[in-house]
Amino acid sequence: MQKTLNRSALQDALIKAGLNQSGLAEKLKVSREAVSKWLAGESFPQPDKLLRIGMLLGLAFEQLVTLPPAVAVPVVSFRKKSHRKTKDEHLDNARETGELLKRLVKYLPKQELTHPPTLKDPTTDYVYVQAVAAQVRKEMGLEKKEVIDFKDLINKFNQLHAVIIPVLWGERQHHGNALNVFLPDSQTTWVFLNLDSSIVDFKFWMAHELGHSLAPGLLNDEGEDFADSFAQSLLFPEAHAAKLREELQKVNGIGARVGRIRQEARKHVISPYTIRLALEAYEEARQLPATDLGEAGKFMGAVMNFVKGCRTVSQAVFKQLPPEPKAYVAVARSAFGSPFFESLAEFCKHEQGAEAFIHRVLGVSLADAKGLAGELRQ
Amino acid sequence: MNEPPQDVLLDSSAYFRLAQSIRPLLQQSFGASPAYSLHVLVELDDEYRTSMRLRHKFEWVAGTEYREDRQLKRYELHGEARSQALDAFSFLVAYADEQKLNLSREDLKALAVGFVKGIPVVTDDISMGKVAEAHSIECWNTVKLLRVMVTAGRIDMDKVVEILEYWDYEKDLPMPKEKLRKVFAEYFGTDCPI
Repeated sequence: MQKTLNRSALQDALIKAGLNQSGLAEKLKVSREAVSKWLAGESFPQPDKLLRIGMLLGLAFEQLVTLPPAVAVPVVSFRKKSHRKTKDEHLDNARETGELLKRLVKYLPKQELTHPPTLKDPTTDYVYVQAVAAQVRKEMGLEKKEVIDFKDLINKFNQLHAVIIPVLWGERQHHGNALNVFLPDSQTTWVFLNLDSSIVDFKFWMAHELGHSLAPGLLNDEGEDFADSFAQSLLFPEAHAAKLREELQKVNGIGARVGRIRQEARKHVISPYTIRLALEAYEEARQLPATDLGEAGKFMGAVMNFVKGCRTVSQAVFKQLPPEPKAYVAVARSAFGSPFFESLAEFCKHEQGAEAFIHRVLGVSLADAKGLAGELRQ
Repeated sequence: MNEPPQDVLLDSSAYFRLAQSIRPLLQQSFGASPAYSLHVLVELDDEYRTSMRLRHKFEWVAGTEYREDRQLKRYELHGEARSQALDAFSFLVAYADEQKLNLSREDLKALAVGFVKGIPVVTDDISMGKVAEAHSIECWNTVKLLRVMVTAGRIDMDKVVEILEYWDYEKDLPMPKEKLRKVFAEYFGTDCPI
């Protein structure tokens, strides 16, 4: 099936612009017959005419053109830094990344093509999420271990056959810190994690993305809320919250209590904010009086200072920044056990346009993409 | 009354190829009827900042002199023009994808801005040239820009020779040498000095 003009959108836009077929033909300097054939679906405009129709009528490509139905649309989920509003542009970019990833599927190791069990009917109910987190901790062999480390999370991703893609998106505000893409047709999950995040944020995002991988069917805000609750419960479960609350009851003064939370945050390598939220969720679910931790604004100030004092993951794992392509690929393979770069290497060897592909999938400049492609072809 | 200047947008490669040889490249408009005014996209600095290879290869780009020059002549669209550029960009991305062209988002953004503002885009990239041609977007190569600058009295032929020799030495010719010789002869009416 060929691409066609979205004739109803086109007709609507013509009416809105006060144009008929002759008017459109005149504006585009083409014959009325040509326009008539486009509208009847008998022919399709040349690229320059198509672009001019879009500009004239204020339509983007996706609005003006109907593409042959895709086998399945990638499911993307991500939350921007500091809960920034997700714009259509961001979602479009993420979906475009998903479409690109489809081209890598055939180069994945076989095991990545199977789909391990996911949650049957996930909800954000406190008791349910705590039970899921406890179950996952058990599967990870962490029943007796208090603090989850990065290796535990990476192993779980690999068990779920989720493909981790460590990326260097910088500490820029307009980028998300993580992105989860599920491709329904191949049943593969791809998890982008920004190594330029602070180490405590990174751990949270990893757990958050793990939540998405366990519940790929939960979409939009519901999916984000589940992933947030799951991350919080996995990193600081109810038992931890209960114990900490008991201790905090004996601590006098808001400052001292916040200090105690910071201490706990340092031990778990998570943000004090995650602990505060875990505590509040616990108190609400168990109908306990709230622990006084002072004004939220002041607490956030303490959180910001805490996070600023932490290194980024890229600072921790690379000798120099930005890393050479070789070091970048080596870390992805060794520290994350990710098959991503193996697949990408095969792609580079067999497909054309690998540089542009890398540039768009990883969000690196075309110049850096060329460096990476060169490294992967070796 | 003076005509408004004819803006010209340089893609990042064209900027990197010329800005060290013609200083300041951007802030000094040149010529009359029309006066030409060179610009780069605001995204050039993002691209440079996040690219290890670009930072290594063109260390000078981070220098104060160059940064200030770019700051004065950066194209950053707002409002209706930005919205139009985003729409135009969607058509160009779809075309580049369909044709499997090796182009970055910044390249396509430059073409989209060129289209919306109705200004020429300077690039030596063959794929960008293909997208521009298919969409009737005016595209110049750096040799043509040099010709325009000579005609407008912004640079002289000695400078052109110096630039070509520098590109040759740096192995950064905008196109294969054979083609460059043809293109040069076409624009300058004389033999190419390299």
